Amino acid sequence: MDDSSAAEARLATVVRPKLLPESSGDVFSRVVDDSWSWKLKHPEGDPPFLPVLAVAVLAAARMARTQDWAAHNYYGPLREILRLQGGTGMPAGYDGAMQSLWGHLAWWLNDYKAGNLGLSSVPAHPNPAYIGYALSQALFRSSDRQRLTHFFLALDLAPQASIEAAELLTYFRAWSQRSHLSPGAREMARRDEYKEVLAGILMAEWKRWDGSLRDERGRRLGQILISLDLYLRPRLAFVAERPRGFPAQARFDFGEARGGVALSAATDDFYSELPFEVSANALDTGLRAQFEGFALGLTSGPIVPFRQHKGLGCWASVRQLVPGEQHWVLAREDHAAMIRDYLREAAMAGAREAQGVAPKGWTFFRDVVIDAAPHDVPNPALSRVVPSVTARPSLWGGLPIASNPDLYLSGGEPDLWVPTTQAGETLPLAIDGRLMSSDFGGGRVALSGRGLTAGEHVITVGPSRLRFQTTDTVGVVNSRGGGALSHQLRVMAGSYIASSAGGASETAATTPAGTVQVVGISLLGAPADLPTGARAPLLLPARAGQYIVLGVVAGEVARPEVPRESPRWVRAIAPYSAGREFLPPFDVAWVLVAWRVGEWEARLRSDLEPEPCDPDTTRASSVRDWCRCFLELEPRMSLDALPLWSRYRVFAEELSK
Amino acid sequence: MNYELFLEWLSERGSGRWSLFVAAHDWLFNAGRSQSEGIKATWTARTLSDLGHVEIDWRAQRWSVTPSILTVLPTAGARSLLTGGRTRTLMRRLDEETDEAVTDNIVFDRHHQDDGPDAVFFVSRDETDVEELASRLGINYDYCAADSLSATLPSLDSYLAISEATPAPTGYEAQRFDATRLRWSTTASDVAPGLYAYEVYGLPRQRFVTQSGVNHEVERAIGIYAELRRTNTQVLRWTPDDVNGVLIVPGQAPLPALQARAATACSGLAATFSTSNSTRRYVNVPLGIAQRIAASLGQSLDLEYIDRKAAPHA
Repeated sequence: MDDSSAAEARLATVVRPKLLPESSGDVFSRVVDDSWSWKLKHPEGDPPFLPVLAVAVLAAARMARTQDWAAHNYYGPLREILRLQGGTGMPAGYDGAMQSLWGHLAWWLNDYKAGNLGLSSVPAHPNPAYIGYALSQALFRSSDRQRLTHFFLALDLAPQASIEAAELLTYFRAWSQRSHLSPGAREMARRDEYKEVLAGILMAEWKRWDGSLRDERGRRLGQILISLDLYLRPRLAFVAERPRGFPAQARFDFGEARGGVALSAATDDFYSELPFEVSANALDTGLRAQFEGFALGLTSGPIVPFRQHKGLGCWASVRQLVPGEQHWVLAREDHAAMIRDYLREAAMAGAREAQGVAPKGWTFFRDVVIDAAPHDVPNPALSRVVPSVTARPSLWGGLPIASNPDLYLSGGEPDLWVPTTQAGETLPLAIDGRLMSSDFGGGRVALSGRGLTAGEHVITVGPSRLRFQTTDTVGVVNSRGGGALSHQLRVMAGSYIASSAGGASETAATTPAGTVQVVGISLLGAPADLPTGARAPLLLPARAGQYIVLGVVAGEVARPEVPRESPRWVRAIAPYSAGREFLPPFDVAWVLVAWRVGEWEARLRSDLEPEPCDPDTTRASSVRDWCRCFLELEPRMSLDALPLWSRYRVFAEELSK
Repeated sequence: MNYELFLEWLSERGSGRWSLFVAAHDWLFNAGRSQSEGIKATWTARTLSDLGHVEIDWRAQRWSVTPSILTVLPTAGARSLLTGGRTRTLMRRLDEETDEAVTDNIVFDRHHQDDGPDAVFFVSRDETDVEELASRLGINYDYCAADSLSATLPSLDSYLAISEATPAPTGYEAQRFDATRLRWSTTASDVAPGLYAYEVYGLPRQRFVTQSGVNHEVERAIGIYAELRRTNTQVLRWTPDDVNGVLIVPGQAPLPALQARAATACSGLAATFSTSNSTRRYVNVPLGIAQRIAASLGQSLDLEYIDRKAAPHA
């Protein structure tokens, strides 16, 4: 008899004396009576019925080892363990007893002990009835429950976030098949008849999850990443995360082969590099370490994607390849051909093998960008390099407005990414209540270009509902936060000196004297600090017969000659101009344009009153010319310009006397 | 269309982190494109910066849209230009304000560009219409921004004066700029005077080592022109057109941000890239502005074309 059989036999020996004969009509009545007595009088002690429940779980575990998961295959092993002879099927009184005993256990853990020993994961209403209680514990082991923390992180969930059981179940069933869950848990996920039990387990674990990653023993887990530094010579190393609450310095036990390693925090988020070579062996077997209630782990796998890691400042291994971003992919030799085929099919041009970087027996593929989900469900071994945003439908990309992540600019609606579902399983997909596909198998759906009107939108994928809003504009003429950056200049002896070396920098609220800020093509600064530019150019209508430009000061007169043709480079550019520029040498008051000989039009440029010229130049020809324009020409003009024209005319008359 | 939508988004958003710019850019421009076909976010950022729409702080990794502004282009057939932020609200207001039911003194149109957002040009009865429109819209007006901007261009020396740095850490793979061939090549040593680039995490860094061995951490374009000046290499050319002229810049020696913007502000058009001789061409640049740009970079403008033209008449 091996150890486990002996242990089972001893357990049965403990339980059997408490049972009544089947002829009593209730084999477990004494156990149930004792449980009530314990609950009412001595709940401070351990539940006395735990051995009975343990036997039930044993029977369920035996059933799970077969492929025939049915009630008859459960009650047989149960009877065998308890030596209940002379009957088949459910022992008398089993149904009521299990309901009471599992219920008492849940009460004790959740209410009486207030979760201090861990919360119960026993479903309240299991399916299949009665045996579902034990199944939930036998198939879904404690280690599987701890691994659910990886699933919740893969969903990108935060503790207490809102999620329905149906949604958890759908994506758990897809995730489980590429996970490290026990075979029983994975089989449970595949079978429809355990949906409800599983949904109950998932919800119970979800409600108790604190957001941390846990190893199979429930210790808080920091992941060990593989870093890839490319400068000088590509170099691989192991780096351990340091999640919040992990000690700054500790001697982690890496097991017999590697022994204890003193780690100290290199940053708030990471320990310093581990002193182990990134060898084929380490990649094959993974790494495990522990210190008190903390664990570190590198999960082995034949394919490992890498992405640039901001915190580490180099490339680092990641759980999942995400769409559209550049990755490196490390593949074990026996998977390299599969990766080559897959990249040829799915990756954008540029992906290639990198020589001399990977450990012996492994191959690195660099510059891997995959931005679309595969058409067919790929080999599960490729799951880490099938682009996926999270393990449930999510929105990706788009043109988000403001920090509110679900508000996008119309026309920049995000893409919908749905993880590749379990083989053979499809989901209905609807946008704003309109069914787009009844059998969507996962992948990317562009939501832009569908003419969605500005407002709220709801995407339904199977049990998941995603909401986002779009807006046509935030409603401002000038951009909010626009002009926040500028080029800083200092003014020294009439020259402009750069005072920010790295391009633009933060725009100062005020521009002190002696400084200028360049924002786009605008200059900010005191007038004295701005360049003394030319006067504003006049825009004159082209193809007129004659032009006269008159200044405020008598004698300021110009008769511009403007080219008949516009510059060559603008002739094909709309709007087609019918104007020309003229740079006046004085401050302009009036522009006179003759469309035909003698037919003048006056346009007022400034409402300044006329000013006398230097007395010495009163008799100059330019002054006479200036006066003659006001005295002899009879231009048409707008009514509001007429009074000022009259005053200029009077002024010219006075000057001409 | 993508550039238009991208500029609209930048304008509606106003400012943000560089990573946000890259994420939105790559989603919009590069989805479904291979890497070789893709458009780099840094290229788009530089184009938008040259056109005066955005400012980038490369060190702090931030971007910001610039204030919207109307300006008259220099001798461009009485055209004015709208640049800076272009929110959808602004463009709607613009449509309203220039509707023919409101005014027949000013009209605008969009000019498509392959490598940048549309240029928005105006023609008006006179310059006061442009100024009044800016006032009605609540945006800025500058009667000749290209001229003002070119008058403020800081010199190379002023950039070098504020960028002195310690020598680059050893161990990085360095590339050296060859001023004669305008090419980068891997180098074993980064001690000799010259311009060096280092591939580090994120954007590459450049160090310019002067003749006296002083290190300067510089922007790529500033470093290139510092090295061209050190080696007395002249690369900028200007050829006259019927009005103004074309400033021709080698593709491997792009103008620094402010110089490129001053050149671009002369036409409102992004520089065109000629693949045949690998040059960038800025149209409608008055000789005076071209000379200011060249002088700020320690370059003497190559006017041989004019000289050759003039020679037969001499």
